Amino acid sequence: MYYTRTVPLRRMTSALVLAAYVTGVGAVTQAGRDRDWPEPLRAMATSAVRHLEQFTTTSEPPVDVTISASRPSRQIEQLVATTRAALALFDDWLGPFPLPSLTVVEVPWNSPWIGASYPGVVTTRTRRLAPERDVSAERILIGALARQYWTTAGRSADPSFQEGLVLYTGTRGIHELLGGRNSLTVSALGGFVSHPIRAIQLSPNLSQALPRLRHLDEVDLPETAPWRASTSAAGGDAERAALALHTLERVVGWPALQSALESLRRQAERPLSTDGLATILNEQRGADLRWFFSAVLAPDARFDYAVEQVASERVNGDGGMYRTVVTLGRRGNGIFAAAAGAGAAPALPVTTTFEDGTVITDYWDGRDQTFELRYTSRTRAVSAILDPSLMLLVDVDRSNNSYRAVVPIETVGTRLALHWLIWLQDLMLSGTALT
Amino acid sequence: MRTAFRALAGGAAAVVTAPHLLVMVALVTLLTAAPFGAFLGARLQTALAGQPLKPELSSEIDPEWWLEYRTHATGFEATFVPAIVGFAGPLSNLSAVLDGTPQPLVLLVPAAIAAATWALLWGGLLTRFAQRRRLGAAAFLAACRRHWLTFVQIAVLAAVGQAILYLTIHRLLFGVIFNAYAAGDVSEVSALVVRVLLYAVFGSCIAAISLIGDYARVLAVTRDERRVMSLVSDAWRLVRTQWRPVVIVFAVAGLLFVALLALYGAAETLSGSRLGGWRAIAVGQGYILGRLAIRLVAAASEVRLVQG
Repeated sequence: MYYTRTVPLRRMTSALVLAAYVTGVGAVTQAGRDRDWPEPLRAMATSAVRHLEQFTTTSEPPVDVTISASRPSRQIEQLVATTRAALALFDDWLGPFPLPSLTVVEVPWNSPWIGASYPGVVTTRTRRLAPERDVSAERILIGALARQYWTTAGRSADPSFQEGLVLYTGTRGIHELLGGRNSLTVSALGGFVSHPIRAIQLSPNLSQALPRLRHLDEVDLPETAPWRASTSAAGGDAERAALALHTLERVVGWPALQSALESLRRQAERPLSTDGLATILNEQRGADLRWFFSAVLAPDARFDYAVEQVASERVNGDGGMYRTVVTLGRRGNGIFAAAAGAGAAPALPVTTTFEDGTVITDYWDGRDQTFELRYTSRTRAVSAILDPSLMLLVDVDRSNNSYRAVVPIETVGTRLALHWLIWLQDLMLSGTALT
Repeated sequence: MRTAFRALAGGAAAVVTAPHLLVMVALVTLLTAAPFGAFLGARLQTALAGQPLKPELSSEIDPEWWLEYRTHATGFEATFVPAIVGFAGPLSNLSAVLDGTPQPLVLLVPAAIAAATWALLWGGLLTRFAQRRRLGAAAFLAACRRHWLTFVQIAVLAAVGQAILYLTIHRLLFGVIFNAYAAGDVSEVSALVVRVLLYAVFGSCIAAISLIGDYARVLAVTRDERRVMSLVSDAWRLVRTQWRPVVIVFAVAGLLFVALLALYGAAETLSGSRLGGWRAIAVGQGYILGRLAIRLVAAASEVRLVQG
């Protein structure tokens, strides 16, 4: 059974595609490129019992899109909308889609091809019992579409960096497209039942300065797959590269990074590597950022800056003044600082707040093992925060980046603790019911 | 069947006419969990205080902070995962029971405390249901103490039995049979049907052990006996010979639990943000109260069944 939306005939320039349109198979083949697809995907995409949705984007050049699904449903309609929006977004960020056509295949629930992405074909999966607010299928789709823009045909590339670009772009695309409705989804009962938790939004208000969630299972998993350039395992080179890109965004800003990524993608003569990106950023910004990649992506580099101690003591005989010493430490072996002569590096800001409301911001270059800031003030210090704008996402433990003399009671903390208390009571009741 | 429904009616009446029992078990349940909640709450507040940037809305949860927190969490803090929020909590607990999901070892501590506490409570509660009259505090506590050691031993035996089931039957059903079936070219619907059937099979096994434990406790109170193996074998004989009313009472209690769970899930899903904040916590605690009420009705019904 086929359902095919009308596509303007003037879009059909290829006789092969025209024939496919007439027979209703849809534009699933494009000048033989489907030969690059794994056989199971090709079989699914061209199966005679699939439901097809087709449209052509309004981009320049246009892209013929075919959605091949097991059956029509509300979820498939949403996937059509998401595909349109994602292609428009990635075109805006990274330049035109690299191929004249794209096939989106909805694979079975237990397929090993969930999230696969090969030139011209991506896959996703919907679940029968998924409620409307469950956007897992869309997350998978967006993650797979991001990979389409980072193909390396005829171009030298660092596999880990290429995979890192996909992880970064896919995650960022999900936040941008699903902001406000990207609820965290809990799977239960063998994965057959999903429950979106509306109180936990994975993509909160994007105008906030908070760093965005960097790990989404729909992008990161499976860690090892034939369509990945490199493994996406936690702590691996690709994940480090993605983390470096997230950090770089906070260092140079999204507009600068977006411009550099678009240039990197367009300039096929440049390698798809950190050197290629650093060179482009150097050209665009006039500042050499090679130090950034060499520092952040060094294999054994571990960044862990901390506020070790804050001591405020009254200085006797000094008119009631306080002497405050803020001791900072570099616990890891990674140094987030430019090499000598490499150009201005963003020093690490440290914000110290005093009882009378005075706020002082100083900077540390992050090189020494320890560093002290000394102040003389009328009141004692109540807090000290290293990297208050959360620029250094590569820091492995940000929980030691701050000191507060008094721990305030946060409403959200109390609520979360009470939720946990209810969960624990239920767990205890379940355990005693069995015995 | 009439026996079963008469027992259920009597059990429900016993609980409704003694609301102080429900209040008491609710308080005890809350108080046994509260120290752990207080510990986690303090840790959370410290962690949140270290956040240099916070969401614009004070009630908003920052998922990136939560991921960072979980990366370094150990012990009880490692159990603080998103699946504990709202209806996801009971859903994930039910899924853990049916899917045999391994739990962090640290949870053995509250589990053991809960088992010991309920072993104490059952003595007084079952005595109250058996005597069908109000017990004074002193008599209630005396009944609790008299049967506590026996009930602890029954709980340990039941726990061992359940562990054996998970290590054998559950692994066979889900690790071998279901995995082999689901690996093939099967539709999601048929796989779900098969999984539900396997849940029913395994559920029957763990329910059997649970019922034997329940009736062993009832017999201990009604006969005032303390020989554990004798109680267990008599309970097994009772469940085997009176299986119809036993199963009906159990099934009704089970259906009430499923209905309560469905109501909770529907309330959260349909009311959306209107069930956020403090209201979500109140509804969640109301769900706990509902579970306790069902438990008391089931126990009182079992006493009626044995006495009948």
